[in-house]
Amino acid sequence: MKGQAHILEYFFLTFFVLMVIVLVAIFLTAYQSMTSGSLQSEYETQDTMFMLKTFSNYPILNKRGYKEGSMFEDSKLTAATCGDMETIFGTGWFAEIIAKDSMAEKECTVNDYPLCNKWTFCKVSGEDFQAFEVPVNIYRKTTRVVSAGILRVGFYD
Amino acid sequence: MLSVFQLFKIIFGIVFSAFVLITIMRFSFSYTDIGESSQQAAVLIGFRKVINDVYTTGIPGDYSINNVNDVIMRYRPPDIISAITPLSIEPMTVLMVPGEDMGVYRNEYDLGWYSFYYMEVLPKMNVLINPLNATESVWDTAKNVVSAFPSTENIYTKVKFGFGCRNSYPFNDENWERERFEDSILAWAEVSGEYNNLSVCPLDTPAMDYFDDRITISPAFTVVDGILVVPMDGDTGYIYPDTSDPMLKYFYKNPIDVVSFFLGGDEFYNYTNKKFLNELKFAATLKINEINVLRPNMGTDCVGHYQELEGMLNAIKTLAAQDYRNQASMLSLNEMIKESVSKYKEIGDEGCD
Amino acid sequence: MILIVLMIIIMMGMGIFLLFSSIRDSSSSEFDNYYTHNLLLTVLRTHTGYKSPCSTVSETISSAFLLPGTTCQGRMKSDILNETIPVLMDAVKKPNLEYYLVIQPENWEVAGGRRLEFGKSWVDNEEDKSVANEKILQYGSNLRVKLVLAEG
Repeated sequence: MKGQAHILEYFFLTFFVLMVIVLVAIFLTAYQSMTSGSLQSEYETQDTMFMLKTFSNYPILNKRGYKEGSMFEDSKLTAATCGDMETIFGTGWFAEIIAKDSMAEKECTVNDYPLCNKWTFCKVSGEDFQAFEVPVNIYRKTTRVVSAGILRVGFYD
Repeated sequence: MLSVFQLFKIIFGIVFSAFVLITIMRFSFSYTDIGESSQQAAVLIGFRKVINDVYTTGIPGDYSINNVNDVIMRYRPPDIISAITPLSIEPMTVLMVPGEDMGVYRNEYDLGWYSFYYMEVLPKMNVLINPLNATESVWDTAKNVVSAFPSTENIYTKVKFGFGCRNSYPFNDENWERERFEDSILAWAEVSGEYNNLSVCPLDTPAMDYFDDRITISPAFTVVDGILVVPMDGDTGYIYPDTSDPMLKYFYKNPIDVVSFFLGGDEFYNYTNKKFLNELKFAATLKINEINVLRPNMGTDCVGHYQELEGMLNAIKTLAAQDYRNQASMLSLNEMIKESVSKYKEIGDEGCD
Repeated sequence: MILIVLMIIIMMGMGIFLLFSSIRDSSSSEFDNYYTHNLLLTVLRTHTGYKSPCSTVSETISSAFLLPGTTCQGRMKSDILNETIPVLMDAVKKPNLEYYLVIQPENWEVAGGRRLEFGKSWVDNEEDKSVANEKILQYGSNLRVKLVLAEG
């Protein structure tokens, strides 16, 4: 009996030590997985931020002479198409620029210019996306007036 | 005399300890690997962010990577090849030479109606410009090539210049970074007329230890060490990567081609050409569309100017689709670009912009 | 018994560590700062609808400090700002954000002088806020413009 009790003690000891090792291993793996997940999330956020900053500063769409922030030219926004932009930025994203002036929101086409205030690139309805929005300026070329507006850039999941 | 139970305890203890030790060691090795990879991924993501920020703001910066060879195996544009995975830096145009301390700089090739941005991510570097039998086009080429390097006055990782040689000695100074070297030193050297007959710099002398590499510019082909640039004018000419083979040459149409070749051989040369011409076509297309958008609202004085510009841009679109190694096409492209720059300036001066 | 207790302690410790070691998302503060700075630049560069020296918001601010009590097209410059800035802010900023905009000469803390404030001052006391600063260069004394944003 005493001998059996001794052996049982050892088995219990073995069991508990193994449990501790397994728990520590699970913990470290979970922590590493959390870190990797966080890195992945940071990378995706960085992608969207970069797209936002690059788009808002892209020289082909902006008026010259403004280093920081953005000064989109409405004629350039109207001239650009989704296909054109995709040759530079790739696919899987969209952008919207809306000038917040006294006009009701109206999508810009060549025929509506300059009496319009919204430009949309590569937006597909019904798809999930992650987007960021920043205030921007839009330079109205025909009236030489600077409006305030917003730029919304997003990536589809 | 050991009892059976005591013997059991000893054997069990050894077996169990060995098992635990082996398990812990195997786990820690794989955990260390994963940990290292995570760390490297974090370094690369941070590096890409710095390049992104410099690209979007134009404000140069520095970035350090300890044991850079463990993190970045090489740069094969547009991917940074690392031990973990290739990391793309599209859509930016990046010329990178990996080093432990790197300067990150956004350079610009300004065409008036369009600016081509390209990034230069370089370690500390001292470049020798060796103009031989200097003519006006040699000096112009020297200044243009230097302007295509980064201006490192405001960052810690420096790219410095010197020129030479006279009596086997180069001219250099710790303060000769791009702005000073291009605007003062080279300009003065040309105007003074005293440096038109410099000789080939020797290869391995103590005076030459200062420099990491050289670009020799000569009006005619000559055998030299390093790359040889033979200009046709200030913007175009031929690059000879190895003058022991005079048949191996590459046509350049702007100084970015020369700097690309200098930094990364024909791989960088091909990459920059494709990016530049692709963006140029896109910019020309967009500008033409913009002119059409603005036409109904243009003043009658301006319509003619824009019509001429539109014609030039259409020609640029066609020429930019040609092979960049074709001298005739690229010369025509350069001509058309110059005309469009001049026309765009005229449009601005007339108040039509 | 001791081992059971030890195991329980280890498990609790790991659980607490995992709970509280959520890595702070530094990229959100980067975006907040970028957003705030862009908002400030956007507002300053926007045209007011009046002619020079009140054509843009920054021009009107500069002119209001340089020549206080003067008008643009019959309207007091301070009134133009009181009318334009809140409208612009409400039009472009996110609805859940509150703002506090302060404009003062660079050495205001020492020399005092005029100071313009817009929005809600309590925003500046918030712990979780983002701040953007700009300068309006002008003869005599540069102006410091500070925008603070926080969730309302």
